Amino acid sequence: MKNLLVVLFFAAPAAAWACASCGCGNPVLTSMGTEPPLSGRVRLATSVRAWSETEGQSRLDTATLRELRFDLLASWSPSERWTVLAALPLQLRELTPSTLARERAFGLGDAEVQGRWVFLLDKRMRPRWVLGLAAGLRLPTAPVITDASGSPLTDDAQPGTGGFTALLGLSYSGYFGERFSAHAALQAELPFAGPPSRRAPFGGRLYGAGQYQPTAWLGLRAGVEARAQAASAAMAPGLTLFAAPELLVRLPADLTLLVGARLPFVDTRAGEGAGPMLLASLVVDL
Amino acid sequence: MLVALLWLAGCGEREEAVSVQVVAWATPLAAAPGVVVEHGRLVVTAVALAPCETVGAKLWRALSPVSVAWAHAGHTADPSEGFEGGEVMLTVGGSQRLGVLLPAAGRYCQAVLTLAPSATHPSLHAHGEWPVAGASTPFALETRAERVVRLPISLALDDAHRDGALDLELGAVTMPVDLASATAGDELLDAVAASVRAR
Repeated sequence: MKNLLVVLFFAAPAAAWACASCGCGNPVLTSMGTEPPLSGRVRLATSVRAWSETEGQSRLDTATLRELRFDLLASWSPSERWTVLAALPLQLRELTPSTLARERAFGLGDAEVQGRWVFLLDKRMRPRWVLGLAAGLRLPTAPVITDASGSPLTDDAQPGTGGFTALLGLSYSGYFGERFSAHAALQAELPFAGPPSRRAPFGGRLYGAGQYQPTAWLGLRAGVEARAQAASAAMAPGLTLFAAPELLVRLPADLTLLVGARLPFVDTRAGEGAGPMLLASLVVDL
Repeated sequence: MLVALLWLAGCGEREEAVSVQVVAWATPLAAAPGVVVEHGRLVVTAVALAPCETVGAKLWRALSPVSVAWAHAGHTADPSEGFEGGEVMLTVGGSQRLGVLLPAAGRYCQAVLTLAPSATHPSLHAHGEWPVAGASTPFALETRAERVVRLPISLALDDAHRDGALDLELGAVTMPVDLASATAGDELLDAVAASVRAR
């Protein structure tokens, strides 16, 4: 009997690495947008971001913008090559000028829709690298926020830009065994409509990170994010570099939790300074 | 539906800026016996607040081998923002509201007053009557000279102290003896400027 139990124990099938959240047998923990292609995948995510930025040259004319932003994201992959994604933000913004004439706005931000096309991968099952193209649109869904008297808040305090922004991107994911992976994404933002005073500048974002997964349920990610912006009516051009540490934790029920930060270490924009950003995200595969 | 609800839920609020009420407390001009000052007016074209120097800035200035320029507060942001100029009646006692400053929050250690001509008035004007050879004779003296008065103050503006006050006390000033002198207006302006205190 004892021997039979030993045989049964070793004969029992090992826990499969395949699950919906890691996708197609790939055990790599992924955040929204970095997942390998899988036909029929439906992902839902919420993310919370808190960030701040200061504008102004001196103590006397400095203004601080702080934002707490919730995003509801959903993606669907009708095939292993195509994924569509929608994001709906809810934003709480506070603009504090040096005179303490604070403005606070709460409301819907500018929603985003994106399509991603995987145009190159080395093999269909457990690909080692995946290249994708993304195109999308940021829509002027944010209302103009007013104060109690009906006067619109200043442009910086508004959660939306009031215009459309085209989004174009290129992404790379590499999977090196079950412990290491790498992710990179390049995205260009091209605003093309809306009031000039509120229009966001032409900009680009480059993100690159390496991920180490010591256990099946924990991933450590370290990366760098670069954001560049052209001059606009209200913003100075320049480049900002952030360190991007992140932690991914697999939770029960196919949930993946991501907590991380963006820590600025270079900011070349005249008169503007990015503060640290804290972010958390919960992803579930249905 | 969700989007429509969220769109409708948008709301905003705006707080008032910190402000400083500038009030002058004048003492009527005094004069020698027989002299009647019917009207006296001082023009204040600007009131600016100078921030207190931080400990770090003091240390830097003391230790730095490079000489540090004393930046005029007005070169960075306008600490006299909101003040449109005011006039102090020198023959009326009591408080006279000069205007409101909308400076940045912070600690201020100096108020800088500029006494200068405005678009419509000289820096200082006074008229009345004085005895000349036993007869009461009209006089009018005025000056377009400019004076800058620096006054030590201690004023903190922050979330807990959003409404500040700058009370300018003009002390007792006696009219010049020779009201016919070409420099009488400048003398009176100097005396008034020297009498100003912040309280």
